[in-house]
Amino acid sequence: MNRRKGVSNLVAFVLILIIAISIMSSYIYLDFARNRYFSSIEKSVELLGSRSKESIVLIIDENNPQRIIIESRWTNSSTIKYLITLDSNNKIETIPLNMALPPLEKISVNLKEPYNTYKSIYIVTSLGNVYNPSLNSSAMRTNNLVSDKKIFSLNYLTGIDANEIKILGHNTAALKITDLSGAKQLFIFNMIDGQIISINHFSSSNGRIRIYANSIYFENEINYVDINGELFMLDNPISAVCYIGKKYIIVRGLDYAYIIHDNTTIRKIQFLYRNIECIFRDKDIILYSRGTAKLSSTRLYAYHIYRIYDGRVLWNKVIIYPFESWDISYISSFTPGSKIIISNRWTTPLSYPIFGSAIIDDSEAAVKSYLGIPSIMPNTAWGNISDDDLTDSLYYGNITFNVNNGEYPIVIKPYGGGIIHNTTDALEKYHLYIEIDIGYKFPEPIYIMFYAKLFYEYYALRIIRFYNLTNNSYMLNASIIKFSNGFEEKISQDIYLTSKISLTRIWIDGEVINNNLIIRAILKATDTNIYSSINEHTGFITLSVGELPIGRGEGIKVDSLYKGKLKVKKFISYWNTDIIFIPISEEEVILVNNIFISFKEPFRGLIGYDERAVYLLSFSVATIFDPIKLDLNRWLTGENPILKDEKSIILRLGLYRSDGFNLYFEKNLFDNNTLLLGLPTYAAIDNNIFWLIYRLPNQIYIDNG
Amino acid sequence: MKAVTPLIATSILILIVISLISLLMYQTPSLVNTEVSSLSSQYLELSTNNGVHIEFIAHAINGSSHYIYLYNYGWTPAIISNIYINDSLEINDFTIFVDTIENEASTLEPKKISIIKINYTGSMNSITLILNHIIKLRWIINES
Repeated sequence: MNRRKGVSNLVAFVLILIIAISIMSSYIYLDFARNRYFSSIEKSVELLGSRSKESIVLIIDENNPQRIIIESRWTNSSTIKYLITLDSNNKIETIPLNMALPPLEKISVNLKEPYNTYKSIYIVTSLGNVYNPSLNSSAMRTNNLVSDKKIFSLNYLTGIDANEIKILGHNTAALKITDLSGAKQLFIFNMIDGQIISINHFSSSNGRIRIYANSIYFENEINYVDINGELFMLDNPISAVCYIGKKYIIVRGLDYAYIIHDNTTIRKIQFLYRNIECIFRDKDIILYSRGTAKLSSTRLYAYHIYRIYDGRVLWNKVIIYPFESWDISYISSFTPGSKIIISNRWTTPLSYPIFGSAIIDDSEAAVKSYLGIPSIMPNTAWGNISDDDLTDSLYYGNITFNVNNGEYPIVIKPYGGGIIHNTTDALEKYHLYIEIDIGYKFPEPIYIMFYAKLFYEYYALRIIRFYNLTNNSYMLNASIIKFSNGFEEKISQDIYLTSKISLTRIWIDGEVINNNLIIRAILKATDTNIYSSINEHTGFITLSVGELPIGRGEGIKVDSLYKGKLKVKKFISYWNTDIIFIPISEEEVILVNNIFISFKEPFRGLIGYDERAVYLLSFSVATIFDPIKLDLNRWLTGENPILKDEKSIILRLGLYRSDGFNLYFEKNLFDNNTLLLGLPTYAAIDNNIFWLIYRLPNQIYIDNG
Repeated sequence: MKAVTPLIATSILILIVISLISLLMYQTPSLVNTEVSSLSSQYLELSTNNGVHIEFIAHAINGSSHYIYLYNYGWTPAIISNIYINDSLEINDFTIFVDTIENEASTLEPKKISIIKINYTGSMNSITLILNHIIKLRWIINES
């Protein structure tokens, strides 16, 4: 009896549970549908509100009856979607424009025929408004329809996204910021004098070529370009700007690019492959795309490169590799007039990653051809180059690891690599930046080549593991090695890096400083058996002058200053088109040239009176010298706050310079009051200069040292 | 015998209760589900229809065909259910194009110009579109 009662209770409970679940799931689904409905109403109301506010006037230029001037008379950006013409034969032509019209600005559109030959002309905006032109004699201005106004009073609330800042030319950069109203504003500005060239559209430096898009990566494809106030239709749509010159702009589409000059010459260059990328040094430009070359039955990896100087195509060439594909492949170095270096990593079927670089002469010379294009076709495996191959190209094995038996593989970060700027007879500028993760069972030694005269004579950083009987553990040492004709010669002292590693991360950086080649390594090792937390060690290696044909270039000096709350002071042209942007987070370590920076969590309480938001940079200078510590009281009085006698390195927010040996305080970034208000959001670093971007209430500061 | 009767009575009572609950349980979820699903689908349909915003741009005649240029500035495509001209005549012979006369389409695409080609030789004073079986739009055509 009792047993049956128990069963019935159980059955009832289960059934009630089923009901509850069923009702709950139904309710959730209903709630989802209802929310979607309400949000669609909100979106619809918002759309209709914007649509009713949009105010655009079309004016026909009396002096040029083929030209319509489109003028915005409201405070938001519009997108002109279509121009529609109805001629006297009732033939309607729809021309997609997709042009961004900034607030209160004007753009012009050229008709095929004078306006009076048409029965009707319509402009359609993305908000669904349709406008007809009206005659207005006030539209006499035909050039400079978009004013190049200076911004002095804009406030910016939100931070800068690293994807929304880009150097686009020798002295030109684009920056996109969200203003207080939530609208995105695109600035194209001169990096030398800080002057804003254009707002919410792209423009050549002289302002004569305009592309009406207001995103670094276009939201819509664009078919038109404005040259001297006239609109020219392109054969195919474009989706991004590659390079902005003084009198020309290079834009790209899927597998083609246009070089557009202000004398209305438009040259289309066709690539074999899609996804075009661009790198440049000043006015020397490379556009390239990657794909597969089919040679009889073989499929091989290939680059198609266009070399451009100041808007002129110097040559185009196809580079075909002896492998079908690479895991990672990119142009790591470009020395105009000398070499282009392509770095690659390829994982073989036996899980042997092979790292290699190809050096290509910056010339149109090529011994073969592919699809009618001059080409270079090495025909042997990477890293095993015979002298015969040099007739095709000069290249060498760069870094080769065998990680087959490693518990943790060695990982080279895709953005790492040796980057060498050299001329024929002198190392003009040197840069090496590489990040490596090493597992416990890493193969040894590791050679990281950083300079090569030829493939059989090069210099490398060697990292080797050995057993230390004193402390009964394995240790890592680093030294500089010179390879010549198969012989290895150590040309620097051994530098102790760390011991007892389980997983180690190494950042390696090098630069020519005061005629010395200085290589540094910062290493972070984690071993919970030995240490309770991450343990860091640094090493420092100096090569004396004369070992390498070292010269020192001046680099690019830019110093720009703009007044007002948008403060663009100094932008540095980096080897790549993108600035290195590093989000500052806890334990982030940055190592570039002669500055090693470790950003740690906000430093609280030690000075006693500003516990809230003082952000301190912790510099870990890779040095054999005693660490230094900032004297905060001296910092507050404006004196050099660095003391060398303390054991830790803690620097307050400010600008510091290093000569490779010492760190010198330069200046405060903010006064005492503003310092407490904001935190750095990004750091950008180039050469000996770094700059930090802060978010302060209502303002964005881009500052530099 | 005395002891058996209450046992049987209790068992029968339990069986009856379980049967009733089972019946209720069997019916209730399906009832709830049907109602909720009907309501939800109505919400979803309404939210889809809220994304349809059509603007009339132009009308042109070429030979025996009328061309209606429309722009969908909303965010969801619209399906044409019916077309009526001059308020009463239903048109079944029509074709939809997107952007240009070369690109045939089946819906009025968002953020695109749609061109409806109607084969009709008479004059057109008005055009009425029924979209997604529910949205009714009417425009006066001025053929001058």
